[in-house]
Amino acid sequence: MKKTRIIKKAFPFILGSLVLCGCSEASAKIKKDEVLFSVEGTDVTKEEVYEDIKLNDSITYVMDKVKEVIADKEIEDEDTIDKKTAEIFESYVEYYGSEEAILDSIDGTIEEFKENQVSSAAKQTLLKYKYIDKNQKTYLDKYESTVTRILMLESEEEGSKALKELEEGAEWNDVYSKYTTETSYYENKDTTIYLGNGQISDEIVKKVYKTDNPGVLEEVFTTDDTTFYIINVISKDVEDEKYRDMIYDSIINADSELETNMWSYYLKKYNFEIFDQEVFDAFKSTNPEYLWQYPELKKESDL
Amino acid sequence: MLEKIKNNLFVLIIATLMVGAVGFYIYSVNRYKITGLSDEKGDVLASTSEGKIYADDIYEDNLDGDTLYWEFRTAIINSSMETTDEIKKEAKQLAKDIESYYEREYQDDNGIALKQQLSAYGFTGENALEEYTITVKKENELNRSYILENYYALKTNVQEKNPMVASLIIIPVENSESLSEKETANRKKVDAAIEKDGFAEAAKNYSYGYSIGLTQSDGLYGYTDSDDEENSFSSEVTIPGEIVKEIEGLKRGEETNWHTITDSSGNAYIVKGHVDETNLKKMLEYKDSDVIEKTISSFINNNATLNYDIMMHYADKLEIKYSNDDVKEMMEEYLKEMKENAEEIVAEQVTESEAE
Repeated sequence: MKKTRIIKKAFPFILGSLVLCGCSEASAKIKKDEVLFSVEGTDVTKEEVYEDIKLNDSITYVMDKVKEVIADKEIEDEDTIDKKTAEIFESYVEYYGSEEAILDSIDGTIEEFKENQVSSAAKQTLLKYKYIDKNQKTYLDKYESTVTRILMLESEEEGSKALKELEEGAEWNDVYSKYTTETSYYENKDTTIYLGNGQISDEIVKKVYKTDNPGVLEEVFTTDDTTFYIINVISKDVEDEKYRDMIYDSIINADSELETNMWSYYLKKYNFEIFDQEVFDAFKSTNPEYLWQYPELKKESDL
Repeated sequence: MLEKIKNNLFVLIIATLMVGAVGFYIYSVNRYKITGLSDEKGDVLASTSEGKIYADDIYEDNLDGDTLYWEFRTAIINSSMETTDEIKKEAKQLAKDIESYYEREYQDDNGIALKQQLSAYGFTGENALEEYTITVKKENELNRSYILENYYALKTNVQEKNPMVASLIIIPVENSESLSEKETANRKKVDAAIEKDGFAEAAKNYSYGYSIGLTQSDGLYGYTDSDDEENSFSSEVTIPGEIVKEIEGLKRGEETNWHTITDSSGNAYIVKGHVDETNLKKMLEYKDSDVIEKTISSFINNNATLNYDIMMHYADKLEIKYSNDDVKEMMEEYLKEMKENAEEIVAEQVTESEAE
């Protein structure tokens, strides 16, 4: 009899708990709903259109806004921003061929384009630099990046001849012009090599990174006996801003996880939170790494 | 006290287990449930320590002609046609197919992935999938009806593509290089069956097609035209371009020679194609709904302004009221741009065909 009573008492608790599970979802609504248009008396409302937008655009919209706010807060030095903006704009001009060509493909003026898109891109890049700075040792050890100039040759014999001329005091540019071939993958420009770069083998990258002083390395490098390289070490000094940018850019290109890890860090630092269940579910499905409060989601998605 | 516990030990264990199980259930159900936030400015979508993003922000910043268009289009379709039982039945099947596809492709995330896709077409809420599939089926019917009414003005571009309904008989064989005696005898038997009972009946009795992706047991492949260079009609077998071309060179009732094909796993088949129908108007009224839908798609793909024309044809018959001038201007601007883009494609096509 008593046993039945205890179990009977437990039931309201169980039922109550189950009811609690069925509470309504958090759903952010617009302030004032109204009819936008009607077709044969059937209304299409602001709320309906908002729901379409929320489900479809929320991740991009929210992340763009949040990234902008965080970059504005983290990157404040106007001179650095202007310098990076000018640099990125130059790369656009190089890509499009001219400022006029850029103008044809954008809405608004070049100044507006610089002020909005390019400046924003500059801040995002500088934020990545800042994040690498914060984790500098980890990233430098991981990629062993060095700024170099590379003379690519088709035979070891050519390599030995070129190296001999350099050792006898010939200028790098002259030797480069004399020995480079049309099939060379490299131009006589500063180029960063790093682990996993796809062209120069990791074995060579490691050897180059061990070199402390700039200058031509006294070895004709090869890993496949068909392509040979003479490598002129320019710098691996990340204290020098010019080379730091090149080295950091190589890390950004190489590390597919960098951006995700960076945003996980900054979103936590700035206490990013979501207050709509559908938007949360969309993040959980496509970008769980941004939900820093739930680190187990990131691990699950990486499996 | 100890005596009481001893006497009720079993009940206590059961109660503890029940409380534990309920506790775990509540935890797991609510683990990813979040709470809402509002202030005097409205409902908050997301926030950082630097500020909040409101529901109204995303609406104001993202409202454009394209979003309005999908709602407009849905309203036009649903106001132009009643939802019949037949439409409901077909829509239900389509909804099942879509759900299966999403479950297969997105597994645990299928719910949100489907919700997001439907929202891009202007369907949200609990009944989004049902409303979407009903609208799709109604749209097909409205398109078909408009195309039939304007058939002679629209058919030219499609007929130039040599449209037809084709069937296939596919039979697995051991070796792609040469057939065994048994396989050769079987092939002769199929030829005799085609001669005696017709291609569809022979396909029903002998073709392996049904199990490798053909939708009908009578070997129906469906609509095809000269835009099809090869047909990957299942994940296993691709009908090579030369066979497709041979089918397209035939008249109604004619069939190809036997060909040997090999799938991606190295399995060999012999295949024979047959042309069931070449009358375009009959394809719009075919017994198979996939054939009708693909024929309609072909009309739309080959007449650049047709999509716009059909929608405006039905819209013109309806009473449309805008609540404010901004929304009206945004919608009209979008429709104007849509029309201009379609006309530009037509002009380009005319220039191209004149150059040829």
